[in-house]
Amino acid sequence: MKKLIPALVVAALAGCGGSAKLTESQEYFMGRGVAAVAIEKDHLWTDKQVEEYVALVGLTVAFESDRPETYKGYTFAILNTDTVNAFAGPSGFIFITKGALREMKSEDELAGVLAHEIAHVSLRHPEVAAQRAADKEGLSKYASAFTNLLSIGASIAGKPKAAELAKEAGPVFGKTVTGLHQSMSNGYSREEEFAADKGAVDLVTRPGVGYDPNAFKTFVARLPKNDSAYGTHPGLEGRIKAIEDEIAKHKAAPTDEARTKRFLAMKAGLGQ
Amino acid sequence: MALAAAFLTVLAAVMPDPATLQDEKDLLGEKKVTMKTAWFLKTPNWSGEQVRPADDGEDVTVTAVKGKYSQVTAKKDSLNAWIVSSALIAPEKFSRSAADEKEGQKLAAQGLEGQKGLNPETEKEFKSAGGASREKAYADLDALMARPAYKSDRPALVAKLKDFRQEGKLGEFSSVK
Repeated sequence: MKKLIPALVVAALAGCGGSAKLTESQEYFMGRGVAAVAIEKDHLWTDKQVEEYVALVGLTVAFESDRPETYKGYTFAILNTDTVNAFAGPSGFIFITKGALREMKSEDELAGVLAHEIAHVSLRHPEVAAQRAADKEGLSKYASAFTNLLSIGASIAGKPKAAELAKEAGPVFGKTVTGLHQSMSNGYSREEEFAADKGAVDLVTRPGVGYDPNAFKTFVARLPKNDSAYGTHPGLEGRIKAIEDEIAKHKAAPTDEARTKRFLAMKAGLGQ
Repeated sequence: MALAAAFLTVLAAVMPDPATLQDEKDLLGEKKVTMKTAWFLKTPNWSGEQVRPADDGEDVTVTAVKGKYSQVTAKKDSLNAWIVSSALIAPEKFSRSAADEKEGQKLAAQGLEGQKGLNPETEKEFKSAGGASREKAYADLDALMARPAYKSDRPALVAKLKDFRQEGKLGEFSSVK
């Protein structure tokens, strides 16, 4: 009987054909799940000065983006791994590795990489992936069940049993966010990556921002092609050319010395 | 006949696209705030003066749209301000925030926990299934999200970002206009 009520609710919703759209709040909790999996795997680099610096560069770009606010705002996390990578999760959770920061030579390169991830968020790529994964793993049924538990639960059982439903949903949630972390850290589709590159160039050259977009191209071009997750997204032949074409459409500010100076001071905090 | 066709062509050119009209209409009117960290602004620019935080679920009426910002009147105090449009949602699409603890407690007291959404309860299950390492990962994430860059009041953050842009010759301080 204990399992019956949630099962009935889920079955009722499944019968209604429900892959309900995730709400902003549900996307946020999926973003937290992806973040927890990433942190559990690689751990955070928690130097407060480095953290704040990355957040300031990220927020400078994010507030000028087409999605300046997410459910609880943007969070920029530094993962303590030598792998060179950066990725975006649902609801504005942005990850960059210590390895990627070490590979960079200027604040403008960092801004370009963060802008690429913010462009994914603006284009809602993480949320589309989260919705797809939730539908595939059956999590959407639970999301929908939770949202509608009041009316459906009331008619079936009188009093909803959210805790029991959560017990059933927990493992499905875990499988979904673990899979999402894996796919997001490997990169989005070719089309989505190209769109994020284009978005990054557009973002850093906006009047409210003003970073040098050539720095982003330089960083991408410099990446080792074999051992860098960020540089080896599948099917990205022509990426540099596409970035160059986009840069040609924008007015580019030069890389500024004061910015590079503070970037190098931050980098010293990363150690060897 | 040719005259009628020409007239229709001219008419089509000067009449607004019905789809555009519909889109604009959709942006105006009654909305709800659907984010936890959005702010009401004096001007349609995030770096302008911050008036007050918008409450998740707060009722507003959109009177105009400029770029990615909406001009609104807040129902509770008649505040006239700007807010980023993506923080707004049609009232019928709004569902109570999962992270709204007060609301969650109120619902829990009524035996209606389910309304809170797919969220702290599910997260709790996932957390406990992962043992100590996952508990720590969530604790580290919470600590990160509580850092001043995210949790300090918005006006202080905006002021800090202004100093950061000035030092780095970014935005309004850039030599490239």
